[in-house]
Amino acid sequence: MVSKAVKIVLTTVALFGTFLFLMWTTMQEGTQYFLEVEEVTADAAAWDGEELRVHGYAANVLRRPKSLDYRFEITDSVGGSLHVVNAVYSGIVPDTFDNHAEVVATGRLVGDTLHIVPDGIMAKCPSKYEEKPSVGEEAAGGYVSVTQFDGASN
Amino acid sequence: MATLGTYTLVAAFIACAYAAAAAVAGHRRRSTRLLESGIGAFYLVTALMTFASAIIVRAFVTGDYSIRYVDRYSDAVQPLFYKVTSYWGGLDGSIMFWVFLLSVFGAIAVKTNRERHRELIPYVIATVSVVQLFFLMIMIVSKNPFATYLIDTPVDGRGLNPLLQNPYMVIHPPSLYTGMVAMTIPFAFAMAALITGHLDDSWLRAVRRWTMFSWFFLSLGLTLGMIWAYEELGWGGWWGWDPVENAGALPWFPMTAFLHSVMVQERRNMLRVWNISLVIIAFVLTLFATAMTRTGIVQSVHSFGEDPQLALMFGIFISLTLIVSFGYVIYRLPLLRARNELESWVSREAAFLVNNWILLFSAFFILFATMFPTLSEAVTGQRITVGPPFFNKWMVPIGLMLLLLTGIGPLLAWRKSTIANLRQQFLWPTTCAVLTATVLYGLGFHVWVSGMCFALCAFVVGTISQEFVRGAVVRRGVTGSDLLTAMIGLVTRSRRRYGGYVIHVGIVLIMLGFAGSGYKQTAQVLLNPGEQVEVGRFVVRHDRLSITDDGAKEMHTAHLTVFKDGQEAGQLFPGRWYYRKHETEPTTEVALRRRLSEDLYVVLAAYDMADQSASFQVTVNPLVNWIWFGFAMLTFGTGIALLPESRFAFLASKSPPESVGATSGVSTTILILAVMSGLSNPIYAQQGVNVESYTATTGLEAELQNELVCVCGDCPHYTLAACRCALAPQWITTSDGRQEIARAGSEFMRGQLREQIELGRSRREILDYFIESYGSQEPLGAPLDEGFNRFAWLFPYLVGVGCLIGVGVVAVRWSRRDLATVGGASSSLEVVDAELDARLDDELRNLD
Repeated sequence: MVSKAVKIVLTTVALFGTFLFLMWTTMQEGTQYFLEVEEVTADAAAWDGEELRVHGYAANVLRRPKSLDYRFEITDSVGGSLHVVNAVYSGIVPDTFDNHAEVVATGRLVGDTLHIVPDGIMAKCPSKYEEKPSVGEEAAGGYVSVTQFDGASN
Repeated sequence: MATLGTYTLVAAFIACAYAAAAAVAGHRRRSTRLLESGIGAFYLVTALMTFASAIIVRAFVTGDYSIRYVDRYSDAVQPLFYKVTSYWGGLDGSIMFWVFLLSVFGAIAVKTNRERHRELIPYVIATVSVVQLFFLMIMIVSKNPFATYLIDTPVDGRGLNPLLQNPYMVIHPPSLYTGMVAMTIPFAFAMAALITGHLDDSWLRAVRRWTMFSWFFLSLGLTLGMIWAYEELGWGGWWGWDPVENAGALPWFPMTAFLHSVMVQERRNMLRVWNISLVIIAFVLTLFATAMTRTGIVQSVHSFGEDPQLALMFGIFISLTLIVSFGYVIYRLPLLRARNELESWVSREAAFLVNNWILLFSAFFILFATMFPTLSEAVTGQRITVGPPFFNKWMVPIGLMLLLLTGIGPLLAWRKSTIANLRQQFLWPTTCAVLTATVLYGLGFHVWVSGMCFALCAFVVGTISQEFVRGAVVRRGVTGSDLLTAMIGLVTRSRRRYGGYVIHVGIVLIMLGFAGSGYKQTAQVLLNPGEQVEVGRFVVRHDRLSITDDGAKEMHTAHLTVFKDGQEAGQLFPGRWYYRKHETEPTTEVALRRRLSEDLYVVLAAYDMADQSASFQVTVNPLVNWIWFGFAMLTFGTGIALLPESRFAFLASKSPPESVGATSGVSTTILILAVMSGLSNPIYAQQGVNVESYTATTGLEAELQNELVCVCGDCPHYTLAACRCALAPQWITTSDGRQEIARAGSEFMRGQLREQIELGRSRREILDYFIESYGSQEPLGAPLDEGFNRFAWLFPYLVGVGCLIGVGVVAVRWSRRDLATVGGASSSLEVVDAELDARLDDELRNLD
């Protein structure tokens, strides 16, 4: 009776210990800090070079014409601009990604810009705000607004 | 209407509470009347929930936008189909849908088990009622689907998100919910067994079928989710390790573990505490899964939003459930002690035990990694997340280990395998594995991971084929029939076992599909018209962009030509659709070319209509369709395992010697037909690919251009909108002197259509015109649905249904005859049956 209990306890401890050890070694890579926008802007230097997941709302989404290079801002609230993190990304974006969409962007913070990894944008359905589609204006650097309609450049 | 709905929910709440109280009181006081009234109240809850569902569906269909839920998820132009299914499109309605399903399943469970398990029924009712009470309380207190706007009733709703307006939204949630909700029934039986102390195997027998049913629908729900993500979302994959995906998958592991270890309990009377714990864990995980989706405790693209109040309610309920259920387990530990011990590690019990551990470990791992952000924030104050590479790193070796066990399990004997046993059993499967590994290595495949996966798949297939063949050979020797009949008889005699083997084949195919993703190739490229990109064996050339409109949405489409190994292999039309009222939320329409060997998957990422340039993502996904096939096989196996006994008993009995010739003839014919249908080349009927309406002037013309098909004889009946051939019409004179067109190109046909449109003809008149000039309904693309054509369409279905009824009638007749003659021909049958039993492995004993 006693030895059985001891065996069970020892096995559990051994398994649990192995599990923890493996977890710990695996987690050295493959993990990211999950931050709100305010947390990043509060101390951007501390997060420099780290792989982060930043949660916020997309704003001023721009795309370079004839490419998949995007440039946008992540704000702390819909339409707000109190805390802002700049972001750049190259690749396919989710369908629901647009201004005011709630996003979680995964990438590395370099200076004050988040360089988003491939497929690193997770976007939710845009909120109740129905944004009137704006028609193309050339922003700085030849980028145009993403929400263009009626067969114009998109 | 809305008030009626709310009151119905309140009434259901009261009836539930009464049912629980009356059932328990009736049982304790031995009062049949009280118990009966409790059961009646339980059925009343089902009726009330059905009524409440009818109210909300009616509100959707009639467009009652005073109800907030209806306003949020529907609008006037939404198709009826999606109006009805928006019932479960949002949080409040989905909770009501949960209670509705639970009430229906509860009623069925009580009805079918009243006689057989009458001592358990009171507490089954009580447990199911308590769960229902919880969800009803959530609805009444805060998430009422019948909540209305007090003032300012909207005239039109906001409409369901277009991303959700597709058939998968219709079947994925109900299937997933069925899988989750159905697990409440085994839990209720487990609690009833614990509370009443009736811990013999009777509760197991009641729940085994329910668990299998629940497991199947959970698997179906998960697979549908994967297909949906793959086809609709456009990122080229089918599982993102998103927290809500993981939460839905969590209950699957203990369910699978239970379905296996229940066999150990039935045969060796061991693992009794384990089994009951598995049922409890599976149920708690279903609660957890639904909590995670609804409360946003972990960030996910799927979750409905953040809701700390709801999180608290769920947290309390889950904790209470765990405390009460495991409390009872500890209380009943003396009754649950095992009768036997594990005798050897080289035994089937041991294999099942290891299988259980691995499955539970996977569940625990996924739970831990998914909850990691919440846990790390609680402990360190910093939210840390883990991504797909982390999950894949662990789940891949785990998957391979499970695959290995799937092969080893059937090869080991119960209690203990001898060396001779092992040698005989392992020879063929190991040979298969080694051969496959050698061949693949020679062909240059990587050993890790795909090579190993393929070798293990070969191992499992070797094991299963060996089981089937050996069993059939033995049975053939005894019954004297041919091999195929013997195999069918084998399966029907032991449906659980062989159904399980078929399910394992399905799992092997699914793993094969997973393994293919190691060879995925993808490219992201910007193409001008005429330019092309090479990915794998495919070359994709961009031809042009087009804009079309069908009234509900505007479609921007790219026209691509595909070449495989240098040969032209068809066209693809990826696009972006802009739905009315949701113009800022375009949907990506993936273009998919599906073959058994691989999928070619193209997404239109961005484009410039002015110069027709576009950015594409082109992906080649090898073997991905084997995942869906594997699931179909799994369905087939589940069907076999769930077959009810009596009507098919006749198949299991020995067939009289005279009919052996006939049955073997029938069996061979079936086999040949099956093989032939597999070998036949599918004829691809051209679907109406919705390309640009080629210079159409009116809506009717555009519509007809997409319906009428070209009859040039060179193209496979492309629609007039798509085909570009310029074949001149060939006139012939019929036997009664009329002029008819035998063949014509689409350009000519479009001209005819334009002529008819300009003459102001109606749709029916134009169709009649084409039928007359071409002498048949060929240009219509599909025969008119009337008169003989409709009958012709229905005919195969009528024959199919008729045959099914015929088989059913014959089965009933034969099984009756069998029972009648048992007395007369008993002695010789008994002797043979005894021999049969002795020679076949005792696992074939039907344990129902």
